[in-house]
Amino acid sequence: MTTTQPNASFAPGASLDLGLQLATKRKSQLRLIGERFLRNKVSVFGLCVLIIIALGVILAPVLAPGTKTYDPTTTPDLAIRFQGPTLHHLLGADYIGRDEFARLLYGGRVSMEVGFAVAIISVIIGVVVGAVAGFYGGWVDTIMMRITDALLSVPLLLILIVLSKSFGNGKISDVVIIISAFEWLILARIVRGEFLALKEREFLLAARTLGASNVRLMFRHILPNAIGPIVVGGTLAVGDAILIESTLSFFGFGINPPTPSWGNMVNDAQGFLSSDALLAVLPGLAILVTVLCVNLMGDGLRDSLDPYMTQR
Amino acid sequence: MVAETPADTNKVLEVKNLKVYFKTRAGPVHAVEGVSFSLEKGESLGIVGESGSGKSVTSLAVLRLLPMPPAEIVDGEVFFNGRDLVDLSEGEMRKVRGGQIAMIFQDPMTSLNPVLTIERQLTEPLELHLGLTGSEARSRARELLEAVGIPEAPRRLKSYPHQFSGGMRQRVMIAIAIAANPQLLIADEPTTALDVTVQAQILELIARLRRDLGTSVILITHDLGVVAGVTDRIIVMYAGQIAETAPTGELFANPRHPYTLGLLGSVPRLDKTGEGDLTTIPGAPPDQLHPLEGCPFQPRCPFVLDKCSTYPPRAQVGPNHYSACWVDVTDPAEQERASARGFIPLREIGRSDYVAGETPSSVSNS
Amino acid sequence: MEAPAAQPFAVSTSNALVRIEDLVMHFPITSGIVIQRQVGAVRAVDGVTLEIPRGQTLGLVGESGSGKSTIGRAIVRLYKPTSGAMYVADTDMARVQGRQLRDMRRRVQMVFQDPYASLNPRFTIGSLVAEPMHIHKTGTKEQIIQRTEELMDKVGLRREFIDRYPHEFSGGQRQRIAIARAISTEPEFIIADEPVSALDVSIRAQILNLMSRLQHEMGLTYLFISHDLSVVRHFAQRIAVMYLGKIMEISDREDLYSNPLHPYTAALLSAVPIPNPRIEQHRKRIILGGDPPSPVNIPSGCRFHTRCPLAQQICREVEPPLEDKTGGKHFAACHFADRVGSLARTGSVQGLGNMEALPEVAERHVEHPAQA
Repeated sequence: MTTTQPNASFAPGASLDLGLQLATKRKSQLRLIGERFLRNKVSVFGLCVLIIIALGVILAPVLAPGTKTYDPTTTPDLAIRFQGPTLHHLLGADYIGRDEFARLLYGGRVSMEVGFAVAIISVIIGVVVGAVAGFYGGWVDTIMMRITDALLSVPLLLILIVLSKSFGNGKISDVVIIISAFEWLILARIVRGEFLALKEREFLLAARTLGASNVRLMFRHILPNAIGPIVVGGTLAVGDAILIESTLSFFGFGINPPTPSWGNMVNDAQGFLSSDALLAVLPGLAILVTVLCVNLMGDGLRDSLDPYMTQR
Repeated sequence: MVAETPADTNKVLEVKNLKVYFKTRAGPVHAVEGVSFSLEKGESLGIVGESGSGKSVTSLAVLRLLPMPPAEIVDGEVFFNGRDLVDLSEGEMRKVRGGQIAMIFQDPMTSLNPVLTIERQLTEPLELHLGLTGSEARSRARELLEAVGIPEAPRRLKSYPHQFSGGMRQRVMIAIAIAANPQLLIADEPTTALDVTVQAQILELIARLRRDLGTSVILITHDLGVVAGVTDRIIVMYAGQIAETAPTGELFANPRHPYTLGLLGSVPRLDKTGEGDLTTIPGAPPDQLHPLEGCPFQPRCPFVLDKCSTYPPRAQVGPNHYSACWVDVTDPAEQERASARGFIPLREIGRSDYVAGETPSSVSNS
Repeated sequence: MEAPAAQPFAVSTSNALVRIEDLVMHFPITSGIVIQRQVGAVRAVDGVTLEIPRGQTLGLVGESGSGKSTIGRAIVRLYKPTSGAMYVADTDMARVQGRQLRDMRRRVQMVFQDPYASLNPRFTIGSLVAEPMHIHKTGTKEQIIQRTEELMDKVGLRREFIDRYPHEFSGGQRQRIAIARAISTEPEFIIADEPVSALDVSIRAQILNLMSRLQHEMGLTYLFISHDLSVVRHFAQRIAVMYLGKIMEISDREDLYSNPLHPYTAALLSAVPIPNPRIEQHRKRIILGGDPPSPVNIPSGCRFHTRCPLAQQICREVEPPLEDKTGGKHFAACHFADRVGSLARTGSVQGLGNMEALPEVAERHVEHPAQA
């Protein structure tokens, strides 16, 4: 270690930097980010729970194999209506005798697909639009922001219901598109605000004087600095989309029955809240846990992307 | 409760072995590590140091203006007129602050309240500390503004801070500071944020304040030039400790601590043309989170010895001149040894005029 | 805008790398929400002509609001100048666009004042230094990495730091990173905008020495912008003093410091503290009254007359041209350049109040608990 051997001098040109002594091995960016993420226990917990849920819904056919001759998610069996948990039906059956456990798993497929698809689409559109609006400003910005203002000022649910009534036919892709059409607005506003603030920073002026093109400035220089709010916005979008889908389903405009989603399961159960609360509580809990875990994970992801959190 | 010392009546302020730590997640930052000094009536003291040397923390600790936590006065006593400020209640401390001790800061905008008129901010300490009535305070406020050279004082009293320029704001700060006849003014980098011509105005004002009102002044700065003209004595701080202290003339003529030598050599001089390189102090400022064993300057010091790993005692090297260094830097043998590590004596780099003291003709005066 | 002073540098030396001719940079002030009208202009740079010989350093000195930084930023085209020309190696930076502008940005680099703000916090040191080489595609990935490491050696940074982030470094080290980045494309001309003002005293010298070593090694030409006359004196061979968007005086270093011909220069020089108490005690200061006027309302005539201790009627009416005063290379814009010497000898204090005149005030019912 060089600290113990002072080779200091007042000589002209002597310019040894003795500040940071501990040399570390080179680590890739990804590895650093991964290490920082793993330090955040709560986020890791969220991620684990999410992985378990995801595995569950992916492995649904294995975990809830077709009982006897029918597809447990859609085929009713009136004989077991409102049955409580049994060995055969782990979480019992619903009001027309469909296996609740199987429906939760298959319904999770829909909800999570909707949630993540909407988040990814909204983040991509939102980042591009927000970046252009924030970076260039001027009329591009004015037009884009007035459109988003207009859209945001109308009650969202009302439009969604009208849209899904007119265009949707209950397919997952339709629901995703309809929800994304609104969700990206929020992302675009977030990104625009960040870009607007960051483009005036001195390091951006510096990058400009280096000759960086506008695209490079936007996506290589500014975007990494805006990643925190974008990740947060994206994770919120996952939760939002799952909840909106539930709400749409609740009003009967989401995924068409008999395909289960957590949303329409809650909806179906509403008539039996007093007698069989479990039918509503279970899918409701699934939504809650998933959204919560996504948010926990998002927090950790944001922190791990922040170089200031590095500990050496 | 009030600690009494057999007060030397001439001593306005006496700081004994002050230690201030900041608690952080990574451990305590040793901001001030045992600082002692005193200040006499009407004296002007300069505290010089770089960022992180603890010079500002020292003064803030004297006034108990540090946020606690994270800061903590771990040890030490601060006697003001024989009274230990560390033990005062917050209420009593408030009377001292702005009353007997006033302080001005680097950025006057942050120390002025943006929504109150200058008049309100000036009259408040007058009513609070001097017990003046409203109208007395208002006329005194006008006199104060005139005293610091703000034209059209009656009109300017009704203005808000943002309507003043940086230099004018600093004058207002000085007016507020002297409003209650303080015995001690602490000025923390009062001119760093200002332009050179405005800096000259403010320094001249501070000098007059002392001359005309007899106020003791502590001037905290990173700029050796600023303290050269307006102080009687200088403390050079490094890593939370006092490296060297001496009367101003003596410090410049006969610097005894290697850090002081390095500082003097590395400052570009208005009265010297740059031929060749400046001497430098290599390396980076100390990390007070992980303070070194012994002398904090050793990794950057060309005079370094084995025994520097124990902290050197404060040695008297001249009248009123103390240096915390094991090495006698004036000893030719030591200089020889240090020059092997790149040390260049000031005289060889054309900076020895501290001794000669002639006025270089290139400075366009006299 | 007034007519430019008769070309002071008509005798264009052939070795000038940078020539700025009558540069004007006005920022419009608009008001109105829907229909924006221009209601005025910040006249940040108001007609500046100067040139810098290849391999030399011009120091540009002025206080805040003098427009010195605006000139630097205009040359690298962070702003589009209102009018005037800025030649760097015979290419007019005021007019280049697109590919040509990007190519010029390889040859003209800038170092900013605050290394805490001018380095992207999300970039590692290696990617910061390599960025210009990636932008201008100066080599393969491996070549760029190798060159990055060489550059880090050159500016005195350890190679191990290549994967660290700027926030892990002190100000001086950050400024080294910024300098390594600036020289990575082997530019000819570097604009250094207050490169050491944000640094600690002991670190300043390191950076200044590094910059002058690089100048010798690479034959760099610098525009060194600073408010600090001591630093400029050390670093620049020729010095221009700006006030409110115009050059007041421009001269070789020795001449300017020993024989200022503009009262503003004299005031600036006298205001800089010298770290030598023996000199300080006997210096005669020229203390100017008040603060610099706003560049929105530039005074008529000579723009310095509102603070000038030598001002006469003519100064309020006629703007003095920047003209050669010594038959050499010493230009000043002052009607009374011949009186500046005696002003510097006698000193002058304006606009300070009188503390002696401050009446004593009696203290009332205020207890002083410790006085017992």
